Amino acid sequence: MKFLLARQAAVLAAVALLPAAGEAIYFRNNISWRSAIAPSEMVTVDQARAWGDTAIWVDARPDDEFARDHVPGALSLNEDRWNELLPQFLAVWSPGKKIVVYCSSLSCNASREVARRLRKEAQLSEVFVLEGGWEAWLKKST
Amino acid sequence: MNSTPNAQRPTLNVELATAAPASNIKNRTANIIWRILDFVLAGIFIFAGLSKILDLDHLMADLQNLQFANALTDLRNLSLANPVEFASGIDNFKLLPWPMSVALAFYLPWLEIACALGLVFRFLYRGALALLITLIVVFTLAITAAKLRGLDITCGCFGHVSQNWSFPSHLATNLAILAALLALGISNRLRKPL
Amino acid sequence: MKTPLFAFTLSMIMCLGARAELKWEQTNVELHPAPNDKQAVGHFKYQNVGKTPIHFKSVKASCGCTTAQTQKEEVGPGDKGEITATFNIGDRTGTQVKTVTVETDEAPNQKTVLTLKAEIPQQLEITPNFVFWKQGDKPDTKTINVKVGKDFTVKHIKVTSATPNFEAKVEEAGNGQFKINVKPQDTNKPVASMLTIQPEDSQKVFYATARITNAPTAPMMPFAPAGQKPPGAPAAPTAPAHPTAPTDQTH
Repeated sequence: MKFLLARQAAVLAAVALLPAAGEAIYFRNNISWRSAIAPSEMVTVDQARAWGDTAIWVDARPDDEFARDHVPGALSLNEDRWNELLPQFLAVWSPGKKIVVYCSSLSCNASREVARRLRKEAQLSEVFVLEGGWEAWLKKST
Repeated sequence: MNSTPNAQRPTLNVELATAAPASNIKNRTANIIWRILDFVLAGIFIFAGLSKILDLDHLMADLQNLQFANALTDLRNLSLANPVEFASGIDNFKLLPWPMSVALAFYLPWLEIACALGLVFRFLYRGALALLITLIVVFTLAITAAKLRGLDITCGCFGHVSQNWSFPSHLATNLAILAALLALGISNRLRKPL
Repeated sequence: MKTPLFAFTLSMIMCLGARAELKWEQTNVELHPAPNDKQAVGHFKYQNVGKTPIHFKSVKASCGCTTAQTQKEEVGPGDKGEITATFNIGDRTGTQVKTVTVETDEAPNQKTVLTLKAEIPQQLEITPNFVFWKQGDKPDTKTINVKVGKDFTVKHIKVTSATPNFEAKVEEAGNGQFKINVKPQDTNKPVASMLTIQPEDSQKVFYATARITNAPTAPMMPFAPAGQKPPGAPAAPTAPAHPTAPTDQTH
């Protein structure tokens, strides 16, 4: 009696495996089985500086903070004016460049959001977030 | 083997024969109700499974807005959903490693549909019922655990459609489904003695 | 043994009685701004159900895009009020969660986190919104996928390129999806063009960028730090294959 139930369940479970396997094969290039999280996106100030001209610096902070001071040569790209600023950034980017996004400090979220949108919307690779943000840069600059 | 049970049988038959007409109608109505419940539950699980395999966002939105003409066009143009979404949904519960979430994202919807079809066609019925009960119990425990851990999850049980449900509604829905499944299980046991 | 217990219980009761308490109607507000809204405002109502006045020590938002205002600095016993959190949407999309941390003098380090969750409806989701060819690459067609947001209905979209260097054709894929096939005339010169995407019957415009980028230059740092590939290395094998692509461009 118990075995009948188990047997029936096992048959159903096996039957469902077939279309599931088919779907997995169909989508094999669209999904990463290994990891959900992208490889580490953080870089330290020193690492980013070592990239020299290969790095493009992106300031994710609001306009007024950017205007007050920013990393020399950095481009402003924030979510307040994303639609206006993104094309300007894309006009300057070139393949092979490493993008370093920063916001004010370790705890702000803007740089991660901007990095995420660059990866998802513009499908750019080599997008990094500066660990410690503007605060860390300042500390290394004095 | 003792022959006592056999000797008792004729008595039972006599009892049934005399009670036949009234209980027949009752039995038949009961059977119809259980069959309807089979179909309703099967429908729920088929919808749940399909909503994860196909991209039903537009279809559901049009149906909710009563735009039936648009809904028909959507039906004709249905496309496959990206399994990453359901896999991420499972991963958000933080109960399993990512590769398992991906495997389940592919497997679970089809299991739901297979079991639902079992209910409809009375094929491998008990196994189907047992699997569905297991699934709903596991889902309910998972969303309760997530709620207790303070995780922010959009259940993913019904694909995108259930994104805006609150925890109480989810719990209530799941428990209702569980109750219905258990009722089917018990009635099935009573109707078809093992 | 009895006296300490009695004293303890008494002090607990007295503490409870004397404790100032700001009770919040809700600390999680979910907003659904309309597509053209520039702001989403959340109202967090509170009441002082304690016996002593409460003062707000600080009200800080998690980001610069959200401002929070209290109507008053001091809340007397029994008084009600609200903290208004204004989230400037800007060009943000999707589910946005912003928090406001409120510190009062109810108890040392007494902080309450108010959460504002806003679902920003997006009429069109354009992926990718950037297509590029390297100078000298084959000028083949690249596809931009456009997906209509589930709360919207868009039957047709119109795409125009700012410069004639790129041709953009729309293909309707059904189920609220479109494909924009972009093809450059040639990839000889670095050029950039803004593609304007407009849904039929809508004032709102969306953009994508198409570009021919410079051929990556030769490595400038022959002594690259260990673990870093010189940026020009991948390009080196391709350069000889395109003898027509000039390696230095002045423009």
